[in-house]
Amino acid sequence: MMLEVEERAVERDRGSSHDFAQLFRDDGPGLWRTIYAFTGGRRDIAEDVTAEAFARGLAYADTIRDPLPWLYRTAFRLAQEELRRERRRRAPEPWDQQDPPEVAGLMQALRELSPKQRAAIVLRYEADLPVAEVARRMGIAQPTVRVHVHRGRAHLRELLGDNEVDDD
Amino acid sequence: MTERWQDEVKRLGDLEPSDDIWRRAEQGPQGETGPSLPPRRQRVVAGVVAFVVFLAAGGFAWRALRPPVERSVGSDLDPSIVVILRILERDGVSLPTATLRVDDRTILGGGSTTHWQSAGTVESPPDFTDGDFTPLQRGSLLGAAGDAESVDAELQQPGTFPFQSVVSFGQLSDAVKLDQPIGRYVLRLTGHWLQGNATFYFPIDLLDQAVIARPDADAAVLTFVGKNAPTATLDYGDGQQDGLRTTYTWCQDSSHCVQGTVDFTTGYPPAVDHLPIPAGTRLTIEGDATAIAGIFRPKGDSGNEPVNVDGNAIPQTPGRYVLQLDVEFDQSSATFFLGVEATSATPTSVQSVNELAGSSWSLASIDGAPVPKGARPVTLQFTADRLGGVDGCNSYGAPYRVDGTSIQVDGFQSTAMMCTGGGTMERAKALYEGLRSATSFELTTDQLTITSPTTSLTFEPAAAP
Repeated sequence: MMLEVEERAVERDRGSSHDFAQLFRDDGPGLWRTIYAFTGGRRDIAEDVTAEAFARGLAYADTIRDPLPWLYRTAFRLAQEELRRERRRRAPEPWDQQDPPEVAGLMQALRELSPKQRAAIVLRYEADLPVAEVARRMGIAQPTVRVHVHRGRAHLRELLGDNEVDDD
Repeated sequence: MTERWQDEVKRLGDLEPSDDIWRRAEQGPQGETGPSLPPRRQRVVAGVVAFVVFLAAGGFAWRALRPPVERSVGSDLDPSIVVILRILERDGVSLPTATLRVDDRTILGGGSTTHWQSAGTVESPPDFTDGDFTPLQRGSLLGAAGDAESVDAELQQPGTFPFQSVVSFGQLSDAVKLDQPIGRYVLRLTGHWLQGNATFYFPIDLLDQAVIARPDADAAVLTFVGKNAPTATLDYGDGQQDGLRTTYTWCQDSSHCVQGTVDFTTGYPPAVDHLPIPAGTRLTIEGDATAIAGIFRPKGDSGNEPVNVDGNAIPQTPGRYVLQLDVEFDQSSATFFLGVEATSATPTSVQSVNELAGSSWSLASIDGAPVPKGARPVTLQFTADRLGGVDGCNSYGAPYRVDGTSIQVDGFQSTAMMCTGGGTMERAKALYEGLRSATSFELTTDQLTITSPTTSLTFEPAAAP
């Protein structure tokens, strides 16, 4: 039997050629919305974190292999740090901010979910991303994403009611 | 039609951030000018925490790296049981799979697939033999992993299919405790995926602290290792065969993967050597695979009417087969081909009549000295391939084999409670010595004598409960 073995390494180019300005136009608002949901409606943190993630992306462009998931993971980390810092400072309840009326009910329900469930739900159902891409952006395994999505969805269904369903 | 919550989530897309985010980004990072030092108290606390973590990590490292010790009950026996339900893709078709991980053992689920998108509705009653029941420690925690959207679990009573329910755990979102009375059950697991539902059955034997050696001295062993280039090896007796790996991927992270393919030119399935193994021999699976789908293809068969590897056994019909295995690991996946020749000769221990199986006994005398009246009873029960009981204080168990009137007991294990008084521990010691080194037995209607070079144990039939 003749065996022919082929191996290939798949590695994306490193490089400074990433066009962060274009990336911001294409994906900045989506990143901001994801962090907005992740933080349970903290517009201020979402804006600070999105700006900081892109600023760091620009600063370290040469060393970033795959910028979009890198930006997301950086933003998640920064947002988590900020929320933790607020808890340590015993900052006042953050939900005294006014939610935009068109999403007030949703935000109230989303706050009943964990931050990762919120992020997974938004990436999956608002941004319409496949599970593999959600996993890439959140920096977690696909089965974990499925668990977050499944639980978040069940919780939202319970909180917001459902009026059935044919796409699941 | 979408649900209300989906419509609401979509409305998030109408929100827009402020206009000046990009301008702020261009001004450079704000949070990396070098973190200012936290207050002194905080630094001291952080130092103490770091030290504690260091000590804990050292402890874990020691536990992981210390020389292996013989596992005995009472030392470190809390096997957590994880059922992994995953979909594997094969030839463009998605297959639901179930594996049970208990310590380092992997058990494939015999299953009936129901309401599966690509297969329609199939119901195949599971078929178990005595040797299929996996010993599990009573009180273990059962959890689920994998890619199923949800997993339902139920314990059932083995018998005529469909089995009767003993207890339903509902959805396995958290681990559940298997603390039902000792005995044999069927663990029924149903995975729900977007593609459909699939149900799997695992026959288990809950034992009260008694544990749990590998019962299968005669089993063929399939070992999977999923490091850089995954491997599969099949061992039986003195024979060994490495699996022909035809495709694999290994990902260091989400953007750095190695893919390998073997382009075989001799048709499908590829030509491989065939390892002779008696038909019906059980397959034990070891290694670090997280999902396995296996299929036996009769030699020369191009894929029609393949034999699934349900029940973890070599096919019952003698002949040559190619075993195709699609395997997933944490960071890699691979397809392997292995050749098996299912021979008609079965091991003598399987053919010989085991007169002890199903019998229950109570210790009557040791080396002719009767057990005193009122002493804690010492019991001995036999299944087809295991013996066990209570030594007056602790539970014990071991696999055994008989051939005619010869008996051999391997892998003896027991719990390790201390009981005092009445010669209990002395009798237990004599029992273990007698069983461990047993060479023959003599069975009459009202007496069993087990003999070793140093000890003779006489048992009388156990009183009915």
